[in-house]
Amino acid sequence: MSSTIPPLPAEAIKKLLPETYHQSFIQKGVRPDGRGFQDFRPTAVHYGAITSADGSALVRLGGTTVVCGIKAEVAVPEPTQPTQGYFTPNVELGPMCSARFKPGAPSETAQVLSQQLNTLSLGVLDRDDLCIEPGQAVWALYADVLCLNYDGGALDACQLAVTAALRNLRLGKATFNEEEGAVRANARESQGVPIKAQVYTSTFGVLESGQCLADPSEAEGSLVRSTVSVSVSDQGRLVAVWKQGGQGCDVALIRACLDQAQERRAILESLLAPEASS
Amino acid sequence: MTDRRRIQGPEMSVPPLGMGEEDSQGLPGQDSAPVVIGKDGLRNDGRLPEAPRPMFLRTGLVTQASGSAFLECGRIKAVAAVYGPRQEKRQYFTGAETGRLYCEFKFSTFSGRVRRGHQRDALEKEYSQFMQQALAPAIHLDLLPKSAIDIYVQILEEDGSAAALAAAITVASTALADAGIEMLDMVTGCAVGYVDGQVLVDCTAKEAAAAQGELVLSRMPSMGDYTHIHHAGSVEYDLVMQAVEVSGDTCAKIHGVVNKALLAPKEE
Repeated sequence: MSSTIPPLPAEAIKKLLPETYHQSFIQKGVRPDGRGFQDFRPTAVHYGAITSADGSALVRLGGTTVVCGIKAEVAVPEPTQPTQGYFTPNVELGPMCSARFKPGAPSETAQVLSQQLNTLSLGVLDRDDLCIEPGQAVWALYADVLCLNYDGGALDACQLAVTAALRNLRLGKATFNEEEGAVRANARESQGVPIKAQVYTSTFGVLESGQCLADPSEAEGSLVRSTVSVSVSDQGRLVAVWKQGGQGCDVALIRACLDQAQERRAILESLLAPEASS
Repeated sequence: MTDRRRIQGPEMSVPPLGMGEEDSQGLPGQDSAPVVIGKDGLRNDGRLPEAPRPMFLRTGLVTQASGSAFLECGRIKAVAAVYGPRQEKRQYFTGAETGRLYCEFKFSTFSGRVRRGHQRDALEKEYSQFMQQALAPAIHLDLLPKSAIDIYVQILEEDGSAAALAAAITVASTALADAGIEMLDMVTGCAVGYVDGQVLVDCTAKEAAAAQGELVLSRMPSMGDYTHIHHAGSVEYDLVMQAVEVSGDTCAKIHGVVNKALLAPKEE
């Protein structure tokens, strides 16, 4: 079909026929931004970007920019789980980050992302570590992830931002005062939260031809038929696999994604390594 | 009341007591009355009463938008993104001859001392309207019939809510210019507080808490026009006039910062 199109400037083809535009790159074994099929976009983590939050991080994954801020408050635990604290991750994909999203209630995409982060957080934090006084008071951590610029790879970026913000989190030394019925926290003796396992997520896009693109950008989304998101922990254990989208793919491809996610984990680990509180 | 579209935390939670002392920047203890201006006439952070905080401004953070800007002023961090002009949706089209400007001002949940809710509250709605009123006079909306421009401002971190509004107006007009939207002039905003018969420019949250009133002024400095003035608090008439003058001058200073930001290379 592409042969019938009269020669147009590349920019025009990109806007009018995004699929043809991207396809012509893929056929030559490269991607429009110069990456190979297995390359992720440049990733950067900036700790403590927000001083009003108890823990925060700004993550950039190519064009995608997300900020995660954690606010720590105190709540009464559930009667059935008197020692378990709360961890509440929520993703905000506002109208600011892309023309795709409308003002108002969270879109379905944002709701799914929040839920995925919530699921992943179960392996990251031990809720019992958030206990202040059993049955009386526990920490309630609100991790709000705000997307400032949306260019695909939202789950990878959001998960990395939550992980980094958790590492950056400092909680005051809390004591429960029975007379007051309140919790006092001493900010001078602040400490981090024990993290059971760091979880790293990598997303891959599967094309109609069965080829696999690591970390597809928003523009490449028009070619991607299904996505595979793989979460692995720092002990090398597999935490979660999400295969989404209409097209089936064989097990060998999933296995290749798992292998690449393991390689990616090492890179992300060294990225997070600098002192978190700096 | 439950928001079923978000992950729910506990039914109720409060910040722990005693975290107020975390700001170890020479702030007074809780029992003594807050001293905002020292004996030497300087403020807590060493500024003169008429000195705004230094401002950092950059364009082009949100690549998906038509135009965007990032502002940092003391602790305040604000991002603005402009989408449009685009065709007005039929449901909003009123048959008006001019285009429509939609502004959304939002504090992030972690922007302040106390956690804010996800949904926009009354203050954020009021500020959204102030932004619209401050910016609309500068834009040639009559040249854009049946179109709409959307401006979204997100305050990542705040330090004085009036100062956040002033920052939002400045960063939004920078983003409008970045989007290449025709304007008469850049609009810059400045907030001042009235403390003990003195006018303090660009109040921090601590100073704003001690203030008897506040004034937020937006101005098109090259034109000399004022686009929006919001004054709250019972203060002497002369002091208000002085505040208008001082904040007008500060707006002109900020105009220089905006111009520099627009000429500087874009943030990648």
